[in-house]
Amino acid sequence: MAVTAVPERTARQQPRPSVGSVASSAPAPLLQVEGLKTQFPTRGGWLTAVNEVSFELAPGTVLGVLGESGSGKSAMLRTILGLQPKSARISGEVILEGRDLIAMSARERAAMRGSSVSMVFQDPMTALDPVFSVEQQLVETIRRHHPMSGEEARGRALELLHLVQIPSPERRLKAYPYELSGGMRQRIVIAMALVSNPTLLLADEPTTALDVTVQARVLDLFHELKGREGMSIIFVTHDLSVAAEIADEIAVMYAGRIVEQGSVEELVRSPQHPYTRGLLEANVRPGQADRPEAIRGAPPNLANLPPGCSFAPRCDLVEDACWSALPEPVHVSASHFARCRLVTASESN
Amino acid sequence: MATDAMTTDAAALARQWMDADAPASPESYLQAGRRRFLRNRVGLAALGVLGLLVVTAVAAPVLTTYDPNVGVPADRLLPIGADGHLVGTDEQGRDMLTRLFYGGRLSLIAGLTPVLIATVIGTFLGSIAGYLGGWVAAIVMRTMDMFYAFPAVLLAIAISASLGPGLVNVIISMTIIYIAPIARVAEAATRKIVTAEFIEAARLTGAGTPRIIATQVLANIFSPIFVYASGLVGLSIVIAASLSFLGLGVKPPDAEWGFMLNSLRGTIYVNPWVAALPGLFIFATSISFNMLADALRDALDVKD
Amino acid sequence: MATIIGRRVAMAIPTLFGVSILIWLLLSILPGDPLAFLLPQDATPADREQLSADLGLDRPLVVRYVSWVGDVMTGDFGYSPFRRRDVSELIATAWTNTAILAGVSAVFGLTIGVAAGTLAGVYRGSLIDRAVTGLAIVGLSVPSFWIGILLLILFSAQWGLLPAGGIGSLEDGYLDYAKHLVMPVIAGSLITIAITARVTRASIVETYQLEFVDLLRAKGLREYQVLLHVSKNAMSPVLTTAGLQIGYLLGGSVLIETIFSWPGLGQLVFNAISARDLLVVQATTLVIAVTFVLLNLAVDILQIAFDPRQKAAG
Repeated sequence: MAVTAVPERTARQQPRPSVGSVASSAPAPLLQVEGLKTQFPTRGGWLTAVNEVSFELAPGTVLGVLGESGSGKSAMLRTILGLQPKSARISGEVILEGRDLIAMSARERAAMRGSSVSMVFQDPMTALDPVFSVEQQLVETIRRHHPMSGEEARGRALELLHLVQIPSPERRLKAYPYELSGGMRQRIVIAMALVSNPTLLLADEPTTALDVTVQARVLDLFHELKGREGMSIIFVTHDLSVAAEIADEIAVMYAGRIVEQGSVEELVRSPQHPYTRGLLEANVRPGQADRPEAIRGAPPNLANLPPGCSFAPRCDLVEDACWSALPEPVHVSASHFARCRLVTASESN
Repeated sequence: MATDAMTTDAAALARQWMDADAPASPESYLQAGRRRFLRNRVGLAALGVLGLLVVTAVAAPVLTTYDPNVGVPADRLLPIGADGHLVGTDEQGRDMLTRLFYGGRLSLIAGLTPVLIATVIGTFLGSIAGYLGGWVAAIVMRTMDMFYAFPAVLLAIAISASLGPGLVNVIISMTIIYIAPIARVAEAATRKIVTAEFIEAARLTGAGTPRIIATQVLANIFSPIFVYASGLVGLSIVIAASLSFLGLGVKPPDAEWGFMLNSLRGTIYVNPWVAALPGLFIFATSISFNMLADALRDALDVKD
Repeated sequence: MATIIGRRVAMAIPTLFGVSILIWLLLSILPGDPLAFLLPQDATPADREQLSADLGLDRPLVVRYVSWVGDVMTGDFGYSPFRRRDVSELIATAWTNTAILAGVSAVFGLTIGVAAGTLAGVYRGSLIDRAVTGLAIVGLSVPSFWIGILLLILFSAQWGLLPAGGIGSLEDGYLDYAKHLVMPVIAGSLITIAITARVTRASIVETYQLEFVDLLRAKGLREYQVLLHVSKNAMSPVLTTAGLQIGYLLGGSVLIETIFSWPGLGQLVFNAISARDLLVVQATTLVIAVTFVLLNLAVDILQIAFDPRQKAAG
């Protein structure tokens, strides 16, 4: 298998803090997601976008969530924040700093949003309100969470623009979104997310919609944010090399489930799940990231999942047993598991 | 653990799951539309009401023995429920139910005909403008824009007034005001498909412009125009009745709902509820057409 | 911003000319003999030619149009032999009365329509949404003149609460004036309420689905703050409809003013039609159409003021 195709960047990654999710010596997790399930009603029945997802996130770490479009990664972020459509059915727990975001009232949750937990969206072209100025949009966010005068809030807004490295911030403050470039807009969205120094930042493919050169610079900004005290990031992407560069730990999602999770080194050096392997293979060919060519077929219909392993219809190594029962997570190390019945077998080979 | 039974089971499960996504036989666009329409109870009810109104209008001579235009002076202004006159009589002693049935004929004709004619003319102009583009489109569409500078009802009134009273003139004036909006819809729909591959293919086979418009374009802009035009009918019924109400439509003693409403206007202090009946019929017809149009739009899945 | 407004104003000028040509053509070359009603029954062909020359009807079409436009621009709409008054004089009084009725109806109808549409859009799928959507289709289908008659039956004929018609006089106090307005305003603005509610609801629903709304919520804004953002973004189609609504109110005024004997442009047109006083029909139609074009121009300019993206386009 083409496991040797480790992206070059990982080689010069710095040593990481120990990852909290499975290690026993880890401090109390910042975020604990338990059995999270998000379903949407469709004509063909309930569509399961997020399926029994569980993970933990230690303070100050970055979890990269990797998957194709439609794998449920964005739906998961939105559910954590309570931004799913009203018609959606949610179950499970999302415990942030000891409080369950799912169980709390809409009012309490709204107060948490933008203060303890905030989010950066994929497309900065559509994420900002087009008819309000940057200043209005920043100031309302600041004053929502920190009662202060308009003048003070404006000063704080300027600081934030400095923080996200926007040149001549005074001028940008007066601008409307349509007057700014995509990269600039994304920095402003990031600035809004940082208003209250959140402990958890959710980033939904924040570089995907940007030009390649701008992507690199926004990614650099995330690197700097990573160093900020106490802030954890969930960074959703379909690009393995981006995930490998920014994250401490990677979770691979397929059809709403986490099918493999481990530290970046473990996952890239010895991917266990056939799907992860396919993604790694695909990644060495440029331009194929969103629909990995190395994996045949298309993702399954989320309203009609196969009874067994969701990946079975596309898997080259499929066995009869794969069709009938959902594989349990198999740990290959304390911090690395995969949901595939072949995992132990392939390790022993 | 691995047994034959299990293998068969698994294979069956796999097959069952794989098959579930593909419908047995894909239905056509119109079949799907009809299925969706037949599931829409409001749309079906509207269709039922309209059917009833058409039947009473067409079969009026069979349904009633009274003469719609000649009354009995002694029986003037009888209230609803009077002996022999189910919903009373009008100011000339004519049976109201009879006149309401007969009135449906002219009211329906005056409301429907302009939409039909304008749809033909508007589709013609719009598809040609949309297909050819350039100066043809500029001339046609800028002329159409002029009509948007008027409140539609007022324009219909002005045209009707200058042509003189009469049902045909009402139909002409209303046709004129509907051409512009229908041409706009047709032009927009044509422009959307004019670069499509099947048009290109037809062009490559050597088909001329009239032939392409007649065969390829019309078939593909039918849905949006049909849905738009069906939405116009409800409004058209009301406008036609308005013009008659103003005395621009039928001449006495012919029965027409809008005109009846006007001539009974003076009797509201004497026999109020009978005077309101023709309006009820206009309203029932108009709302049924509007609900039918909504149901058709949903069934054919056309975005506004 | 000034340049783009200037451009819009400039664009309205050809429209106004187009409107004048259309009206003039409609009432000048369409069949129907303008002299038939002006001449006595026993008029000779010589009388006929004399009158035709007096009215300038023997000149070529283009000359007649140009002289008509020239007259109109100086406020001279001609003389109505039926009313024995200058047409401009008739129109001036009637225009004010119609402006009052249409203005009150527009404010009433747009306020209720926007409020109902916003409620329905915010609580999409709820009972209130279904009620508003259902009532809107009723309002869209109901003939205004029938509602007018129903109101007359109830409030005038049966209960005697409101005057059956005419315009109040301010000398009798504001209450009396308002009482005269109640029924015409309700009957005339039903369709405005219905259309505005539909457009507002659709625009609010569509705007709520845009991604920036997720960001507003992700920032922790309260729902009323989100609604403020959504409303400002959803305003454009509502404003456009508002301009058109005022047009419907002006056009529909013919029916409403006839039923309630309101001495406005609508009644003027109606009486002129009955008398075949085409000069008055022509002038009134022109005045209403010009008012309509100017109102839509005002709406256009308002749009520019509300949307920063359009400001820049100039």
